[in-house]
Order: sequence, then structure tokens, then C-alpha cells
Amino acid sequence: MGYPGREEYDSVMVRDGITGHAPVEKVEISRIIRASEGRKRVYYAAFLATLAIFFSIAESVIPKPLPWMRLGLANAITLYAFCVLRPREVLLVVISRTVAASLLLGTFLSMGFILSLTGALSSFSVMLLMYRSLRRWVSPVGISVAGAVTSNTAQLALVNALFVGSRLSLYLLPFLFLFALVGGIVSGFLGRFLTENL
Amino acid sequence: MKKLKIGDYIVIGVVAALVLMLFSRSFSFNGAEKYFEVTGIDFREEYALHEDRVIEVEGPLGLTRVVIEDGRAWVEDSPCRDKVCVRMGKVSRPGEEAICLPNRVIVQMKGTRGGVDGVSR
Repeated sequence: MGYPGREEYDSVMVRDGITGHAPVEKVEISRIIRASEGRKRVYYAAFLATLAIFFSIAESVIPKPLPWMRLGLANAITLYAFCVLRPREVLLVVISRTVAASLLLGTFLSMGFILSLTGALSSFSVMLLMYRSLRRWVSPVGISVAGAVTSNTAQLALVNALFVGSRLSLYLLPFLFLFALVGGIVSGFLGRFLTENL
Repeated sequence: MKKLKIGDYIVIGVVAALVLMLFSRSFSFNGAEKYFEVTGIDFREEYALHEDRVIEVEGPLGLTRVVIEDGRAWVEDSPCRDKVCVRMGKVSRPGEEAICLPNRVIVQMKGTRGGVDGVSR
């Protein structure tokens, strides 16, 4: 029914041999992983961060009509991470992939990096809130769209705050929202594909 | 692949509505409320963008001739010494102006200063 909760994923992880435990009862499993498998969760976080970095780099290769246009495929990893990791570990994944991708692309500490970190952190917060409170009604697709819109809005707000008096936002906002909608839906479906198959 | 949930439709619908609203808003801003304003010493008049005409403005030195044509306005001739106003060229975008200081004449395009000058990659 809909989109399985954390417990079901934890049992998937168990079966896949990530934790080494035999699948026990659903309710028990998440507790087992949370209590005793800290190191493996860290490894898993690192694995997800690596995947997200791959998506970030791969995406930067695609030619874009406008520089702000991004599909946000790395966001799909964040979506998946919400299902298998604790929020603070997801945050670790988000931050490390942003920093590592910018190091690889050579934009570390540049304006673009600050913007992407802003976007990543703001969309993380919104997606976390939505995942925790509205999971029953919203699938990863909706969460992803909301996250993408938040990310774009936050970045534009930062640009407006830094470059005071620019009236750019009025003209840019509809395009940004359109990109966010498309990219959010694409990465949302990718995220859901991952949650169902990884 | 499981079906989308109701929340997805709500989120997508809200965002799509926002996109449409913002698009219509930012495009209705374009093209509207632009006009030329010609100011002299005892003279101030507004002119429509696309009505070609020649305006003669009386100043301390004499008559300054302003021409509006094809949505552009410029100082054709002025009795001043340096002719800076003539060389300021044609006013074609909001915020641009051609000014004759000696004869106290200002030709300006008023309106929302909009759009993007350029995109750097």
C-alpha cells in the first residue's frame, strides 16, 4: 500500500545482508539496527553519499539552457536515505555530497557552492518535515517536488539578499519553479525507483 | 510502480498553479506602462510609445527638437554648443534618457525597468 515505511526497508536491509541479522519481527528490526549496527549505518551513509556525488557530477555534464536548471537527481538519493537512515545521518549524506561534488567540480567555497549548500540544506529540512509528518499522504514524488521548490526559492532569496535591489526574482521565479516541478518529479520517481529496488 | 498519493497531486497542483500565476504576472509586466516623458523648463508632457511625432521644446537657448519614431525617441537638434544631447543617441528602453543640460530638456522613457540584461555562464 503506497510507499512502505522505514520498518519495511529495514527488513529489506536485513535480508540483503547489510546488517547480518536474520529477519525477525518487523517492529523489532528497526530497533536492532538502530541499537547495534551504528558502524554499518555509517558505511551505508557513505555509500549513499557516493551515489549522490555520482549523480551530481553526471548531471553537471548534461548541457542546460540556463545555468540554474538542474534535475536534482542527487535529491533522489536523499529521498532514499530518509527511508533507511536516521535524519542526522541523512544530513551527513547531504552535506558530504554537496562538499565532495563541489570539490570535484572545482566550485568549492565559490558562490555556486554556497548556493547549492543553501538549497541542499533548506530542501533537506522541508523534506524531513514532510517525510516525518505527511508520509502517509505523500509519496517521494511529492516530497521531492516540495524539496526542489524550497531549494530554488531559498537560493533565489539568498541571491536577492546578497545583491540588494535586484528585480531579477520576479522574472526568474516562474522559470525556477517550472524547473523545480519537472526536476522534482523526475528525481522523485528515481527516488521511488531506488526505494523499491535498491 | 505504485500510484501517486493524494498529497503528490496536491503538491504538484499547487506548484503548477504557482508557476502559471507567476508566469502570467511577470509577463503582464512587460510592455505595459511604458511612455516617453519630455521635460523642459516650463513643460512636461507624456507621449505614447508608438505615435510618431516631432516635439519642439522651448528652452533658455531656443527650440530643441525631439523626435519620436518607431518606439524610440531622440533629440534631433538643439541650440546648445556641444550637442551632447544629440549624441546621446536614441532612447529605446525604460530608464534610458537623452538630456540637453544647456537648454534644460530631458527625454526619458518611463516604465518598469524589467528583464534581464544578459546571462553569464
